[in-house]
Amino acid sequence: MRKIAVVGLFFFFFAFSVFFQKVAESHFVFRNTNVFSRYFYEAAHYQDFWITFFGHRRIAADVAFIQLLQYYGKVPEEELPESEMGKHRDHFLSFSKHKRLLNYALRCVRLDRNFDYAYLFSAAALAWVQKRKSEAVKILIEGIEDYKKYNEVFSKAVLYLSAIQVRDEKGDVAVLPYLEEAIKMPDCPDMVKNILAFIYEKQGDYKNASRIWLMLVNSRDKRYRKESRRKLAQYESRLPR
Amino acid sequence: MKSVHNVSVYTLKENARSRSFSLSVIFVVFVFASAFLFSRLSEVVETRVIRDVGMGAIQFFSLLAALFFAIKVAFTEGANKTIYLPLSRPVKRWQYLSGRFLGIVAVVFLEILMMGALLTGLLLLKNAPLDGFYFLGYLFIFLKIVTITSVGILLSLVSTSFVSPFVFTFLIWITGHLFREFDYLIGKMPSLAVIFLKVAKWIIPNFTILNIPDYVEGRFFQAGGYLPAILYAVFYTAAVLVISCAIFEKKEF
Repeated sequence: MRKIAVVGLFFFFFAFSVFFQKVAESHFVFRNTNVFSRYFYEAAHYQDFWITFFGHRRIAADVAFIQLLQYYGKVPEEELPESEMGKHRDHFLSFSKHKRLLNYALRCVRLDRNFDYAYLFSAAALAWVQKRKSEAVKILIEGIEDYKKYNEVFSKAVLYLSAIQVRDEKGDVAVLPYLEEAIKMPDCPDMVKNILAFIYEKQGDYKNASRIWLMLVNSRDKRYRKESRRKLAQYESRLPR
Repeated sequence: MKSVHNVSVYTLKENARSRSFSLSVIFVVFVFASAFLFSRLSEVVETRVIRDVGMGAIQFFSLLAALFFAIKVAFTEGANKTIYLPLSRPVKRWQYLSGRFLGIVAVVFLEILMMGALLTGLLLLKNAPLDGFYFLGYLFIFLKIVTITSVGILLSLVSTSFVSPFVFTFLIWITGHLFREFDYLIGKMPSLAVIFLKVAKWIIPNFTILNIPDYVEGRFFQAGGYLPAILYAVFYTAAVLVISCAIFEKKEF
């Protein structure tokens, strides 16, 4: 009898622990680079794995950032040509290229995606001191791409900003992939679909234009409803049956 | 209940006087000093470093102290035969073990409270912004230590050497922190391994959901998950304690 009570008590507690674990996990989004992924191990050092295994990713990122500062705070003699060795010890940092700065930065941010300062510091150093714009953009895009996954508003804003910039720089055709991405979102305004349909029409791509107009046939806005039906009727003769 | 209370008060007094308790406080002071040194290097991130290293140290030294106390209760006392004395009194075995466990929990609580007060003082001196999430971090450190203490006691009861419960508890500590990392591998694993992993997640404590100090500003964890995570730790600990008590009842010293 006593044995049954103990087993029953154990299963009671255990079942609740499993249940609450599941509930807690449903509120949890893991927002870091996975330790087993290529992105992590191509940037991480041996020590990072150990500190992460003990549940201290932030400390690992702090240590990595301090190492970045140490690297960036001196002229790395090993990266200089032999003739220059020993000459620049007291010179300002811009004398040296600090070739591994991007690697250090990637290591920090892949350890802790919340380390905003590491993104900004390394991007600023790369862009304005080292004059390596492409590397600065790489680290910032890494941050943006990661944040986009977890923040819908941010993700949409980035998409729209890119579309605005691309349309200004490269014209209507270049903006098509961005707008195609935008219309996939359930809350995409009908106005954007309307713009996309007109761009396709302008390119003479009636097939895609009618695909977009079809999306507007049941629009809540009377003007878009009317316009889409008119356009579809107009295209009827132009499209192959 | 009175017996459980008496044993826990005795454990609290005994461990509060022990050297390992004061040693951890000294070590934390040392780590705080090194945190200041680190912060001289990084300047802008100094509060971040002090906070992270400080909370990490609190967690690590609380873990060490709790494990020492747990293994002492469940293994060393049995090996040294000093357990005969309390067990010869009118105290049931489950009462003795529960009291010992609660005593250790009380010691850990005091330890975290003291070290936390010290760290908070340091951060306030540095004008660091301290939000509710920071203080919630302490609660979750405490829950993690309570959970691993129960596991440490259980492993000590079934071990035959002093080292093995230490090693296995550390392995469980590491595995518990890696569950979210294992999720990444699930798509690449055979289905049998996936089932094994899912069952292991129920058995091994899931520290990923309790590791709040590592998920700053709640970006990982929505507020609705706090209470279930707390209840998970409580029920898991209770389940492990039930097994421990059952094993302790049958154990021959």
